Amino acid sequence: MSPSKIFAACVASVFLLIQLYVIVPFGYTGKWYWPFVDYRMYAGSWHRGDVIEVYEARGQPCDSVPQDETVEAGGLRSQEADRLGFELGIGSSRFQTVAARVKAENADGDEARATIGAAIERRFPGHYCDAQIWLQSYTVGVDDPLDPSRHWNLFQAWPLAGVTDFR
Amino acid sequence: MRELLRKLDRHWFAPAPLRDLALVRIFLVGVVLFVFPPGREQPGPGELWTPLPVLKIMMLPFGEWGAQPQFMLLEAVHLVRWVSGVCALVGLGTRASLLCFAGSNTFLEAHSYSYGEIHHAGGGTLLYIALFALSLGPPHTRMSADAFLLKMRARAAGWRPPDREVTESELARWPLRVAQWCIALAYISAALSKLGYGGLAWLNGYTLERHVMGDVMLKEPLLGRWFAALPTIALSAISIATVAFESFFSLAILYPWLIWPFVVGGLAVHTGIYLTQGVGPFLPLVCTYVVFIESLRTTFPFRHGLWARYDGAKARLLRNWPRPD
Repeated sequence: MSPSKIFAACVASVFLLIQLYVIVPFGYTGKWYWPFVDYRMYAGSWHRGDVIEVYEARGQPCDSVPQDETVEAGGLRSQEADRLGFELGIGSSRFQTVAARVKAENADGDEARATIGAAIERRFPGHYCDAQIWLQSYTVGVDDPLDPSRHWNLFQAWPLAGVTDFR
Repeated sequence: MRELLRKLDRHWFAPAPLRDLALVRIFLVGVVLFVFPPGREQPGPGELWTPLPVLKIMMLPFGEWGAQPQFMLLEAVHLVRWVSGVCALVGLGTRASLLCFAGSNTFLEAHSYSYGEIHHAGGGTLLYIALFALSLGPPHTRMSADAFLLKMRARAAGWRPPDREVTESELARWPLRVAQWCIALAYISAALSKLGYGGLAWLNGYTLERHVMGDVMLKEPLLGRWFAALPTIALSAISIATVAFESFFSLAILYPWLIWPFVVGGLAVHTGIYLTQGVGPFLPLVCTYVVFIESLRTTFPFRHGLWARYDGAKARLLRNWPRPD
């Protein structure tokens, strides 16, 4: 075997063995070895009757009137609070985890509110006076995905006090 | 044992056209450079900083272990990415420029994944691995500025060019094989995770409805609600087909005649995910299929008809070409 072939065989083995190491056994840890990744996304299983809850961040501009506590899906553009979506610099799944904690009246809740508040202030300094987290839920196998009367409900709102240097 | 080694040798090192390698290089560099730029352009918030190991290693020359790259460094890496990308595209200093291009893209994408969110939304992972493999492959002597300059230099020195140009190399196959097996392993990983973590319940139809609705509520993709409203049995059948596709994709490497059904299947899966969930690296992954160029070319269903028509048209053109008297 020529030296070039031996080199090629070594390189190929390294690439494929690392990828194999990362994906077996199946767990969370492999993602840290990016660009060799375990593709575990969407791998959980669900059943009829399970409930999904998704959260969304919005900001209430300082010069607007606070809005009602329920907004129909699809009617969001006319509302005065702005949807901040994924612009906060917090990845989507991490945002969902943090947002679910904002209602808690303890240190955990304080930290979640501070994290989202700081992200809003950093991204849109001085523009919003209130941070809001809205919730929509869906029951698998029971709710109708095509139902036009689905609602976003205000989950938690709190004033932004010019937080600019959260840890 | 000897037979197995012989088969392995043939699988990885059977002579392959250097032109295929050049075409793959040009295509992959082009799409990574112009179509899929790496994610975040500026340093993110320090409190979310959770660097990936690969970035910690790449940052070692610039700071302590786990340091966060600052704006100027990111700008410099962007510049290196553009310069090396253009050089790799035209084939100037091809190996070095490919290595720099793959490295700079890896750096930038790893940086954007170092704020607590790691996934494959950018889809660049497999493209970068393919670029690394190409950079370590044989010299790029086809469709490259390097080859052109070499010819010019040889001509200037009065050397006579060889009668027949080298068109194949036994080292031209392995970089593409590495990329092919990485794609197959990614798909196998996806299938094993679903069955290993979610179990057979992943195939029950409700799971797919849940995953689609989770994205629908946040992003309202084009066909999401309609898809989630399909009968549970239909969603179950689609789940089974998806896992089957992911589990058996590697067959397309071992049996090249299967590549077209799997490519069409891959297009369906990734386009479907994009239209119903608004997520997924469907375009980068589909672009990565170019590493199957040889199988795609040699097993294209209509190739005989097309080649025959092309040859016929060429012959007619030559026959009717006006000749000087």
